[in-house]
Amino acid sequence: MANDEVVLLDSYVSMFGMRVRIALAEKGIPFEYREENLRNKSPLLLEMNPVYKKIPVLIHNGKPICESLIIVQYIDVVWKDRPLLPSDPYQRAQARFWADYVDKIFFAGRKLWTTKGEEKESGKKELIEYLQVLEGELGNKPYFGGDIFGFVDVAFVPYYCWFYAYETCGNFSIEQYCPKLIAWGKRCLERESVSKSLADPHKVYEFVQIMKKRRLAKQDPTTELDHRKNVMSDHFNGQVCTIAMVSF
Amino acid sequence: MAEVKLFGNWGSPFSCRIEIALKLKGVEYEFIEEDVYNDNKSPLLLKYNPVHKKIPVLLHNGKPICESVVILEYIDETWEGPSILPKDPYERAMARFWTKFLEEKCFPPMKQASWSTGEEQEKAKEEATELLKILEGTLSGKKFFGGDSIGMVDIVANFIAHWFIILQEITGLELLTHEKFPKLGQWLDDYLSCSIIKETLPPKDKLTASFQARIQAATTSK
Repeated sequence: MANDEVVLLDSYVSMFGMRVRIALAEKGIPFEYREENLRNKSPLLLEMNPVYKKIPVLIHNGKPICESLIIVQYIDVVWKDRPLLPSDPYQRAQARFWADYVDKIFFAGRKLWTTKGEEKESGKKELIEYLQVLEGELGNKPYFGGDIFGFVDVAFVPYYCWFYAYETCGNFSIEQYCPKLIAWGKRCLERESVSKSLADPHKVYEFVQIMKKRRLAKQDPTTELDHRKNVMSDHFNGQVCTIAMVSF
Repeated sequence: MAEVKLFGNWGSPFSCRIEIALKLKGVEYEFIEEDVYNDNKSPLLLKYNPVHKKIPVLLHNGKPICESVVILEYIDETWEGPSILPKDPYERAMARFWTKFLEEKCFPPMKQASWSTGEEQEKAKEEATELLKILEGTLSGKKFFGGDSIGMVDIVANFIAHWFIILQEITGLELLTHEKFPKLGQWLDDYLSCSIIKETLPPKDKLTASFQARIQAATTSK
């Protein structure tokens, strides 16, 4: 499909954006990546996703598709090579079920830097429980898709680069509870589509620290924080990457 | 011979959606009533949905499928008959988008607006009104969200057409009216006139009585 124009509005640390990057890379689809400053959203983003005003947004020949798993399914149907979803309807239903389940991690993990004390501990407990369920579902398979890296792997693997942030904030080791998930994450990272799409876990952690400081500053305006320092220009391999505000 | 069973509850909008879809496709099924509101779930339900322990669960030739939207897609892919999702990939993505919007954005505040009181209710009412405006906009020029006939989005919007409207009547809320939202109002009329919808939605008087009992129980327990 040589004359396709594919643009991705995204944000470096977003696990949702990473899903789309991986899907595009798996299929070998050339695209233009545009980093969005979520504290100063572009007119294009606001036009293309007026309902949520969030990334990722895939713009295919001028038409926007929003919501990461919806985008990945769209990509899977339009570019038929290297399918991500199984062809059997029952297997597809299972894949959709588990991809949907994966996002429980987002809300639990978030509590690790947005809350403290008992609420934080309960977030940690929830997160571990969800990860253990996913570990159970993976079992001894190389991928959630079985022998083939598939839809659930695409949905879940971006969280792998967030594990370091979760572990550091929560003071625990995911490998201790879910060794198979860690092995799976490393296996996925051997794929170029994954290694070039996932964010550096340390940069994810830095982002989380910034978010944490911002929340504290909001709660206590006497805290000194230079709010203008939200551009980390030399930090991300020379790419200007303005660190984002709250989808997180 | 295909065997289709549906674990659901007479009063649940979620299992109702599955019944609508199965009827649209002309699929015969056995409905298994689960006493979910009294937390009296059957061992079979817990076996077939160990992760969420919820209805609906569709059992097709002994294999379970869980989560209502996942089940709807499965039904569309498995059986011939009227399409629940559009064939065109872009239109399909749009249908999935609006389905998710209804589920994740609309359902919670509309439920909240119906069941809460005071400031919490006021906030939920405002949010629900904004969301209804967005829905009104998406109906422009269409009879149903799915176009000329009912599709996935219309099926999932069943909670608005029936459960929310009934709660509005009971509580005196006037969020969704024909005057405020003419297109949605028309959609309500058209939707509720569809024979499959009429025969599948739970009886209004039974649902009204059940809601009133719950409201009563909530007020007496305070």
